[in-house]
Amino acid sequence: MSKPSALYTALKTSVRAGLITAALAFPILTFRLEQNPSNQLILEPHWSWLALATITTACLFFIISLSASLIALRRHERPAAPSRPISEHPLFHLCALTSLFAFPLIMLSALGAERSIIWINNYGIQILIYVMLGWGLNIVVGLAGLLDLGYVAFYAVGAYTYALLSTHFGLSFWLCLPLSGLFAASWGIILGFPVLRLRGDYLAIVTLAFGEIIRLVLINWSDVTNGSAGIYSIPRITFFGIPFTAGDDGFAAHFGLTFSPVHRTIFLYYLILCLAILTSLISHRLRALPIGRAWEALREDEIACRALGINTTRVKLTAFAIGAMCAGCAGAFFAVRQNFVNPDSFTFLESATILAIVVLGGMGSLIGVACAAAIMVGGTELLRELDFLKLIFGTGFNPAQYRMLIFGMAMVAIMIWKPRGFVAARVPSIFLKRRSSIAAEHVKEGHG
Amino acid sequence: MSPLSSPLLQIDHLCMQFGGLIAVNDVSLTLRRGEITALIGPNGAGKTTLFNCITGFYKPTSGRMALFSTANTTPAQLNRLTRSGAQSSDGIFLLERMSDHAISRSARIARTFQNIRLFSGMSVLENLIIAQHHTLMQASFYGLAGLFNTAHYRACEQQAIDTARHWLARINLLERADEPAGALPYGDQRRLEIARAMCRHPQLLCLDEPAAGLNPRESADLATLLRSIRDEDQTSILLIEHDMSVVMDLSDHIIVLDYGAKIADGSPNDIRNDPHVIAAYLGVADDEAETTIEALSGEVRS
Repeated sequence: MSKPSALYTALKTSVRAGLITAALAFPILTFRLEQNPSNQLILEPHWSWLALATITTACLFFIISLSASLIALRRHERPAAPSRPISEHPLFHLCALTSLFAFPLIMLSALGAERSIIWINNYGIQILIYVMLGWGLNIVVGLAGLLDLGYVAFYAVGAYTYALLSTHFGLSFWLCLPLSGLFAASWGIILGFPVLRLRGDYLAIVTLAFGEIIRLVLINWSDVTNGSAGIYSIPRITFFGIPFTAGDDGFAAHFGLTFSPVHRTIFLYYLILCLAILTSLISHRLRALPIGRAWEALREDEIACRALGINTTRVKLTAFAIGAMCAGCAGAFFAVRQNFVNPDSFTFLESATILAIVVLGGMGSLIGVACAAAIMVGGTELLRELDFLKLIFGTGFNPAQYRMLIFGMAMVAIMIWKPRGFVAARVPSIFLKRRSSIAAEHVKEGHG
Repeated sequence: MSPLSSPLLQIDHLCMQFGGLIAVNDVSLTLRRGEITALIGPNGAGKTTLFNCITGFYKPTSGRMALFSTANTTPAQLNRLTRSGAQSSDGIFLLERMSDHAISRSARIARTFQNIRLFSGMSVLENLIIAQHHTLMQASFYGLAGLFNTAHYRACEQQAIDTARHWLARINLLERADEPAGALPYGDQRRLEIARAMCRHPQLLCLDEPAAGLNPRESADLATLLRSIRDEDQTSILLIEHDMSVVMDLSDHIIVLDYGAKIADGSPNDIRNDPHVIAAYLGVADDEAETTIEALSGEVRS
C-alpha cells in the first residue's frame, strides 16, 4: 500500500462517515422545539450542532483510518524476523525480579509507613494476586486451549477452604495453603469430568454455569458459609507464628522495630510475590515437560493427539486440576489478606477480568499475562488518582466515575492494535540448533 | 514378499453403520507382516471409514479386528481372547474393544490424516517429541521427575531428541527442525506427518492419501521413504491412495472397496485385470463388465 492511496482511503472513509452522521443527526440535532415569550412553540435551528457532530465524526474516522493503514504499512515493511524475544533474556528476568522485591522498600522510604500501605496494598498485592490467577488460568486457556469462564469458582473454593478450616478447626495458614490448593484441584477435576466431551462455546457455557453454582451454593448454604454475610474474623497472617500486633510478643517488638501496620502489608506482599513466582516456575517448567507439551498439542489439534496415543481425557483433567490449584492457593491468600470472605468477591465479573488478563496478555505467555494484569488492575486503580484531569475537563469532572469507560475504550484500542495480545509469538519449549519464536498466525487458539 | 509372512491384522465381518447408511458392509481381510497394502476404491467407497475403525476413531457396529504383535499366534488363542471379553492377551489386540489412544499406544498402530493434522503452531522438532509423549511420560514418572529435572529424565529426553533427529534426517528436514510446522511447504508437511507417526515405532502405519497434492517428484520420494520404512523399520503399511501409479508401483497387496463392500483382494497384477474393479472404476453394470474388459484389454494389446 502506498501513502497517497492510504490518504485517499482515509479521506473517503471520513467523508462517508460525515455524510452518514449528517443524515442521522439532521432530524435529531438540527431543530429544537422552544417556547417563545408569547408561549408559542417554535422550531429553533441549530446548524452549528449538526456541523460540529459531522466534522467531529469525519475527523475521528480520518484519524482512525489513516493510523490503521499506517500501522499496516509499517508491518508490511518490517518482515517479522524470527528472533529471541526480550522476555527470554536472563538480564530481563533479573531486573524484573529485583524491582519487584525492592518495590515495597522503595515505597516505604519514599512515602513513609502510613502512606505507603495503600500503594503496596492496592498496586503491589492486588496486581500480584491477579498475576497469579492469570498464570493459573493461562494453563487452562492459554496452553490447553480450554475456554473456562468459571475460573473464579476455584478461587472461591480456596478462600472458603482457608476461612472454614481456620475458623472452625484453628488450622494455620501454612497448612491451609496446600490444602486449599488440593481442594480446589479436586473441584477442578469434578468440573472437568462432565465437560470433557464439550468444546468451544459449549464448554464456556458449562464452566460459566459451574462458577455461578459455586457462588449460589456459598450464598444459600447458610449453615456452613453464613450466606451473603460471609465469614468474619478469619485469623490474620502471622510471621511464622509471630503475630503482627503492637504488643510485647508482636513482630515489631521481636525485631526491635516501632509497630506499624505496614509490616503486615509488606509481609503479605512478599508472600504473594513468592507464591506468584512459584506459580510461574511450575508453569514454565511444566511447559517443557511431556504433560505441558501435551496441553499445547491439545490446543493445536485434539484428534492428532489421540492418534499419537495421548489420553486427552487425562490431559484435560490435569490442565483443569493444576489451573484450579493455582486459583485455590490464591484464594487462601485472598482470605488471609482480607480476613473476611463473602460471595460478593466471586462474581462472574472476576472470571471475566481474569480471562481478559490472559487474552490481553497473549495466550500462553507468562510475561504477557503479567503485563496485562499490571495494566488491567493497576490501570483501574490509577484512574482513581488522576486528579489532574480536572484541569482539562473542569472541576466537576471526577475521573473515578469514568474509569470503567476509559478502561473499556483502552481495551478495545489494545485489541485493535494487538489482536492476539501483548506477546502473541510462541517460544518453542525445545530446540535443536537455535530457539526462534513462532509467529502468531501459526499458533492455534484452541477450540475449547 | 514371500507369501508365507505371518498375518498382522485380521479383520472379520466388519460392519460400520451410521443410522441408515452402511459405510462398511461385512468386510473381511488380512494384512500381512512386512507388506505394503493399498486400500483403493472410488470416492465414498468406505476406505476412510475402515481406516477410522482400525485406528479406533469409530466404534464398528459389528465385526472383529485382531492385531497380532507376535508371529506365532494360533487361532485357538484368538478364539479364547474373543470369548474372554478382554482387550488383549498373548500379544493379540482386539481393536474394536480399545479406545483410539490405547490402540496407538498398546497395539502400536500409527496413522496420518487425509487433511494434514500437524501441530502447526509448534516447531517441527516439538511435533516429533510430542509423538513420543508416552515414553517420556513414563520416563518422568508422570512429570514428577521432570519437574526436578533428574539425570534420568534428561537422558530420556535426549533419547527422544535423537529419535526425532534420526527421522528429520530421513525426511530431509534437519535444517528446518526449529521452524514452525505450519510454515513448511505442503510436501514437507506430508512427510513430517509420516515421520511423526514413525516416532511412535509402530508395527502398522496407516496412511490416508499420503501422495495427495504431491508433484511427481515428491511422489517418487515418498515411495522411496515408504519402501525404506517397510524394509528397514519392520513396519507394515496400510495406505489409501487414489494415484494409481503410486499404488501399483508401491504395494505388495491391494484391497478394493466399493459401496462399503470388498470387491477384490490380491496382488497388483490380479487387481489390474479384475473385471469387478474395472467395472467399479469405470461405472458399468456387472453384466457389461466382461465385455468392457475384453474391449479394454484389446486396446491395451494394440
